[in-house]
Amino acid sequence: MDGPAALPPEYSGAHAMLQARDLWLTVPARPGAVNTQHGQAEGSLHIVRGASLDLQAGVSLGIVGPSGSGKTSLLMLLAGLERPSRGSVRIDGTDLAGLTEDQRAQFRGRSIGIVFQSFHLIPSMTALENVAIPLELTGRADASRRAAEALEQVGLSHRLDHRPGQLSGGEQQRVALARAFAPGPRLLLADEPTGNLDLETGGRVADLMFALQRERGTTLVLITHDPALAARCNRVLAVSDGHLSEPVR
Amino acid sequence: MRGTLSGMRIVLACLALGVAAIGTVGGLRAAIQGGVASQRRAILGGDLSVESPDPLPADLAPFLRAQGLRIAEKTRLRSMLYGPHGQRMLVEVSAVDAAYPLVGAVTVDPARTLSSALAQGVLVEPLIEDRLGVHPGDTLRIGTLALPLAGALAHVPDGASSTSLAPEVMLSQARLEQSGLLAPGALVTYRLRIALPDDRMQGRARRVQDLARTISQRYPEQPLRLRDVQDAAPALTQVVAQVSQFMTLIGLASLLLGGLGVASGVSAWLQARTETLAVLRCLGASSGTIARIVSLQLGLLCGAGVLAGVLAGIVVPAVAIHELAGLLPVSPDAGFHPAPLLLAAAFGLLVATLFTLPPLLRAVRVSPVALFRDDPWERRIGGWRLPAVLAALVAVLVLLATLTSPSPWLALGFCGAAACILLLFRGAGLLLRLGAGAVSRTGLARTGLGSAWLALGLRALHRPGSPASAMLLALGAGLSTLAGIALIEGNIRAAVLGQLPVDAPSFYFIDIQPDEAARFDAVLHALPQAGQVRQLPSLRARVVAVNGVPVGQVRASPQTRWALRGDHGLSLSAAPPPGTHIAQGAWWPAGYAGPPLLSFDADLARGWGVRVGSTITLNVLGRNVDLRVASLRDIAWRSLQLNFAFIASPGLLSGAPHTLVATVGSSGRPADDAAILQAVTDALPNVTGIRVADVLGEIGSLVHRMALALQAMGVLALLSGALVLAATLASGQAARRREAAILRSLGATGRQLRAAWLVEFGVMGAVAGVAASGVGAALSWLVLHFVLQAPWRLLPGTLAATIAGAILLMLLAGLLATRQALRASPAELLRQG
Repeated sequence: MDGPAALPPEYSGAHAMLQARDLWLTVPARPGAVNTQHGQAEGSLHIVRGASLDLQAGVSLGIVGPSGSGKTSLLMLLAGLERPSRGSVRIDGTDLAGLTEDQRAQFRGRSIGIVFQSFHLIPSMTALENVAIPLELTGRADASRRAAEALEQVGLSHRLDHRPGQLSGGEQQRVALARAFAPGPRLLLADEPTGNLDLETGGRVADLMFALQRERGTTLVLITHDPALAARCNRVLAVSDGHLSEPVR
Repeated sequence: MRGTLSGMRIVLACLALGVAAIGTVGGLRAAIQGGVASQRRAILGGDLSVESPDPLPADLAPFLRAQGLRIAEKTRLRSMLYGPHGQRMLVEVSAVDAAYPLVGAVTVDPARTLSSALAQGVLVEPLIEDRLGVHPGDTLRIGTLALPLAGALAHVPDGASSTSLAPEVMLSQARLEQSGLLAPGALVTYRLRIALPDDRMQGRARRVQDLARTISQRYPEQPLRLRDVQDAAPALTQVVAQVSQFMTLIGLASLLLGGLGVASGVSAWLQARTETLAVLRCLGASSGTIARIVSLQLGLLCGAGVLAGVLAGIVVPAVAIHELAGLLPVSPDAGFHPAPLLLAAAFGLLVATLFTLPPLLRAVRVSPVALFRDDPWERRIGGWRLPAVLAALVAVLVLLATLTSPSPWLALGFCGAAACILLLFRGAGLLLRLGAGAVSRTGLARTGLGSAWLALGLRALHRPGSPASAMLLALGAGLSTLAGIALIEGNIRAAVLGQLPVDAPSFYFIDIQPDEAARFDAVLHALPQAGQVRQLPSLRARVVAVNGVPVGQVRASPQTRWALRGDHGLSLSAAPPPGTHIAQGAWWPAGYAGPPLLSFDADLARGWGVRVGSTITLNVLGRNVDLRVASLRDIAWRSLQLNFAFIASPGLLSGAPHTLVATVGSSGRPADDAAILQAVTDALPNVTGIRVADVLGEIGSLVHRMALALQAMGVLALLSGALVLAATLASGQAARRREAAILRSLGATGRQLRAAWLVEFGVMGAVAGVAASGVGAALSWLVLHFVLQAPWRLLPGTLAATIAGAILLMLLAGLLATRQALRASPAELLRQG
């Protein structure tokens, strides 16, 4: 089992935003296989194996690893979209294990922004509507205005009424960034945000994401297979076969 | 993929259901019509039937026998039948001679010959045995005659030849003459069946025609009705033709509705293959090659659906014929009838082509680049070819429906109505989208508590690709049919049974001989249960001419034409009957003894162009009598009071043989009515009593049975609609699950998502219900106003039930879709990219 990575000294004064302890995600290797009560199962597959990490507020963390190493699964666990087979996740002092599924969703809406590799915009909605959703879900009366402002920040004020299918890949990811930042989350989880974009567009999207993160003091967990992109973060960890560890230099 | 697979199963079901419905109806019609065709000589009872309300000319039978023809007589009349313990019921009495039946055989249970059974006593339909609780050997009474029950009539070959509301009792002609029922003025039908000798098979039809002409010319003054084998079972043939046509059209409506499900399922199936098709295009496959591949797959699939429907169209009629064998008046022809199955398959293939072509062309004609990344709701197929091909397919469909229908205008009207309903629901869908969009944009949806779900629900209604229009039509079309039928039934029931006048009589007594009138009155006056008694003389009369114009040439309104045909009751009265309302003219003075005058129904007078002073010539007991119209009366038939359209002044006609008709009031309680019926018929056995409550009950149950049959068809349309709803939901289910996963990742709770879907489906249900109520109300008004010429009124309960039903059904559909979408793991869906 890997121990938590040491924090750089310059962040020692900030409070802990994200704490993960001994996270395991185990799934049946074939349909119908039964988990044992110890989290081990006959014919089971360990996707995440005892990952632990501590992240101070405002810090950016890059997690690198090859395809199939368990990066995205780790992000799903951190976002509370997946329940760990074992271990705990605490975000800004809230233990996700103590929340029901709906409470986790509400918590996500208030505190976590997520950017996906394949954008995951709702295709039947306009850019403005896509960005306004998380604001509406938290009951903000000025959702539309704030969504328009968020889109302006990512340079898409001229594309408010376009649907995802009418936007380029880069534009779609900028809409996804605006959607993630609009509710003012304390933690941003980004899963290969440039993975579906060309080098130049990807670079611009990454610049935008880091700029917004710095400007708002958002804690960032960036999952990528691109070491150069990860290197732009304050810290970098590596995932290999479900294990989270310091990268091998 | 699972969604698209279930979508394809629904495509199969949509096609199979419609094709099976059309095939089954066609198969049943062919079997019954085939049965009538193969047994029509037996059904008619010979080669020619002569029928008359008056006794047949005495020299007719000798004249026919002299020509070497075989003849049989059958006399029919309505009367009361009494059981050994005083039980009684209204029956249709058939008296037959020794030669009956000329064709086929009467089956008697217990088995014996007809002649030996009739020599012993009477035969009755099994229904009578059940109702009266009588068994062979029990003594029954008809008129003044007491006879043992000889057995049950298991099969009567000419049973389908005429319609009868009462079950049949058979006895010999000689016995009927002893029963006292053939008193002057009694309502009797005299029938004579003629069979050509078997050795004259050649030119039989021409010989029958010649014979009919000879008989008509020989007795020009007699009201004889002549029928040959082509007209063996007119009522049955007409009912089968009309019902089957109506059911075929409903089947076609279900098939058309199912077409929407086909379109949804095929669209989803093709969408799931978009990437594969794009890759094939990139690898060099032409759109023609792709079209051929996809067409072959879809052709096989639709072919399987149509084949399943055709197979059901073979099996279901066979099972139905087996099950209905004893209930139908003719034995259906159980052979294989390919024509209706071919027609059903043709309809199925046409509908399948019509509804698969647009999504098919959309999938194969767009460029590979567009397939990979354009906005799916922006894909439109330009050009005129597709609309032209679709229009041609619709024209072929309409042509096929019209040409294969016994009433082309009705079929054409149906196609027009179907198009109107389609446009109406499309319009309702458009209004719904515009309305939901307007509410969303004005921010009204975000002003209240829990606003996010309201906004999400409304947005789902007006977003591009929203299935709202298809779902409205799917649910609305079936519900409109059901609502329309319920409104028609409700209106008819209200007109027939609703709000009976308080002084309406409880009984009609017919066939009272003039010398029995005093006894009749005395019996009732002695009964405390009997209320007001009214009597009027009754004669049979037939209209011969109006203002000198022969009846065949009178230009009457369509609503009153019926009254020019057949026999009518004519009464005689010195004073106006109580409650008479004279609209024009005046009643004749007391003691009037001049030329016969007539007081006539004002409604019929309007339809025939008759005024006060006009002359109507009636044939009374074979004599033509000119009656001058002295007054026109507004007759409230719904009051059920004793009344006649024709009331003549006494005098000339008072000497004519007649009977009396009476009405008797009572509390309406069954025990009181039973006492009245028993007292009268015990004292006067030849008198027939008809209880108003029983007749109204029969009418009510007839209306209900007809409504049930129609509702069954409405349910078929609703079932097709439900399949379409399922297809539409299945085709959008993958997107719905993915959207739910995204929303949950953004903070939506299960409760918010459920509430949003409640709004989406609830609003859709409400709009579908309101539109279906409107369409149902319009349909029922059209049918009642133009076809049944009955008054129409809105029945708010029925409409409210339609709207509630629509909302419930739509919410149920939404609940199923929501449960599936919420059950999926968001993490898994989001990982799929």
